Amino acid sequence: MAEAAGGAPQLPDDLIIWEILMRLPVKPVLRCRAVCRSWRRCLTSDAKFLRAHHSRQPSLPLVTTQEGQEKRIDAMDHRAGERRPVARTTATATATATAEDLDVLASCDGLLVLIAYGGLYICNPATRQLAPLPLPSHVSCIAGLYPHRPSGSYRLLCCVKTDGRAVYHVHALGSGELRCVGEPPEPWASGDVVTMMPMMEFLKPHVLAGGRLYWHPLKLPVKGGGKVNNMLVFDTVAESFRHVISPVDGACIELFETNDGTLGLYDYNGDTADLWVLQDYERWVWSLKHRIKLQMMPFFLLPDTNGDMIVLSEKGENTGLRWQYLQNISGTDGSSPTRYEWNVFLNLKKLRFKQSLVRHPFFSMEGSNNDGAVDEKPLFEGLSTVTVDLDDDYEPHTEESMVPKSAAGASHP
Amino acid sequence: MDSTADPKGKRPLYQEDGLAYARAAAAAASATAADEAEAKPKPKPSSSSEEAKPEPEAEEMPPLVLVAEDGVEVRISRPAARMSHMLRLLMEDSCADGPIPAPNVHSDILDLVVQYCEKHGPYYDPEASERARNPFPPFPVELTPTVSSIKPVTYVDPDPHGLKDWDKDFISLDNSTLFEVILVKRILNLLDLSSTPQDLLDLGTTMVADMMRGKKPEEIREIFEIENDYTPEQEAELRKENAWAFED
Repeated sequence: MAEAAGGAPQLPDDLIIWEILMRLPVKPVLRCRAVCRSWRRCLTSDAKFLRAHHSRQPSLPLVTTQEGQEKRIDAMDHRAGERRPVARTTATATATATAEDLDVLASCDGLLVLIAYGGLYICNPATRQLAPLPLPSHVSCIAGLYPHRPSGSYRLLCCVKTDGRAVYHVHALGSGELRCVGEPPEPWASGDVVTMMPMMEFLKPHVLAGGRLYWHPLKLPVKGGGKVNNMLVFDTVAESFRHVISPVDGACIELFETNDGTLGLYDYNGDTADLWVLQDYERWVWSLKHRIKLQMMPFFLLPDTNGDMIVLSEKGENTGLRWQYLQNISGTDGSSPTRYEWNVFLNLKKLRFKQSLVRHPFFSMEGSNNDGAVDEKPLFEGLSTVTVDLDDDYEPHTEESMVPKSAAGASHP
Repeated sequence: MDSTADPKGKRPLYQEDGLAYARAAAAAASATAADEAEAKPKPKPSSSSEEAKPEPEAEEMPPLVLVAEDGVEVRISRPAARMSHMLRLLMEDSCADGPIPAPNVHSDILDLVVQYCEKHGPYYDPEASERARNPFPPFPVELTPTVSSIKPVTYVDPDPHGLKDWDKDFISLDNSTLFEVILVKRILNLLDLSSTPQDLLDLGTTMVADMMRGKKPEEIREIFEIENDYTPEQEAELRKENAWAFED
């Protein structure tokens, strides 16, 4: 490294790349490829850098909305008070938009499964790779997108309704095949559950944690009468189903993946929210981590990977347009320093998005459009960031200390 | 003392194996300073087990003496020195009583780093930053199903000592000083590239990263003094590839 005449030291390349560039979001990193060759080598093709960069990106909740003719998917950054654009369609595009546009069905490692222009697509908004998903029409819902660790491929779990029963299939992206993996255990394989699955996926989507897909608990009948809060689990490596009893019986449960890769659960019961974490999958042992006393009555809770929560609460109806409040509640001390005004037409999804510059070969195998032919169905044109307004009248409350009740960790064999 | 060249201008590659170098140099320095009666002798095997907790004795012990490359001595108190992984190891090994050479660092920069450590030192708790980074610590292996762990939730001021504001003022440095500080802190920590503890290196590199966000490639080249080794055609090609990243 040459010494500069100006006297400022030259930082070594590896420090710049691994300590500084690593912290940048996707756009500046792409610009940095044009700085010099050695940077470009690392920022484009060093798999270790790209994976590490992806893991440092914030995991942001997705928001869908429609403003006039424009339909958008954004990522909500509550720290910066912005909605960052992810994908967008407008009526001026030559392909016709349909009523289901624009929606996201699954999100994993920077990849999104979208409904756009009446069809299913897989895309990576950071690399702008895009490919249609040629799933047959009898697929009733997408139940999960996950990396298959042993093979390194990305796979989709789909539910096919056959004679009123739920039969699951796996599609490895780029393989052109839809392979049957069987039916889930009885309470989940037939009856109302099967009809309800697509709606459930929409409202409370699957959660991928520790190589397993978990679905939101449902009160289902058991042998011997009665109903219990039953959870369905799919092991992505063994490709088998299991059903287990939820550690808590409540009606308002939110599942999420913790930043340790295990399953977390928020049990909301009116004025408190309890955080449970799965400690041992085989023995199904859970531990109660903390209890947050809430200062408002949220109607929507979305946990973050570190145990924080985003909540939506009502503002009140004396304003002409119905507005809501959005705030982030810290999992460590229950504090909430800022609150935002949230428009009721913004749909906060329970899926989170983390940008990734890793490129995947399956995009060209699915029959994609990278040579520009897909300009008829643009998803990434004219994206712009939108600021979310702070609520200026908000004064954060001082929480009082919670006396711990004695509560045991639940263990359900 | 090297008086043949301006010390700020000379910047050879930093030493990877700073710890071994510092230990050897510190041992040599204390061996020659034989009149330092209070210096502990080489660690005795019998007393090493009692030295598990340096903290209680830290306040009574004299500050460490760091020697910058221009020969100027900079003192750092022991509680503040705990913020450096390398200095902590030296203190535990009792190699920290003589002057500790800090090669490749000018005393002005060393001063700044010591200032930061003195400010943050009293509140520094390595386990707390570990907890903040990892709120779901690994579970113990033996676990009875009745173990419970409710934490009472109290409101805690996230920044009781006003450190965040002090940090913001502190890190508003010109580029050249900022880079020097980043380099030094890295040496003092012997950083492993895959993990970054929340500290001065974090502060400095985040500052630089924030500064870089809106900049164009030519501006970035200027900041880091990097030569453009692309031909104009190659550069144009690159910009076309990810055209959207170069807008606004």
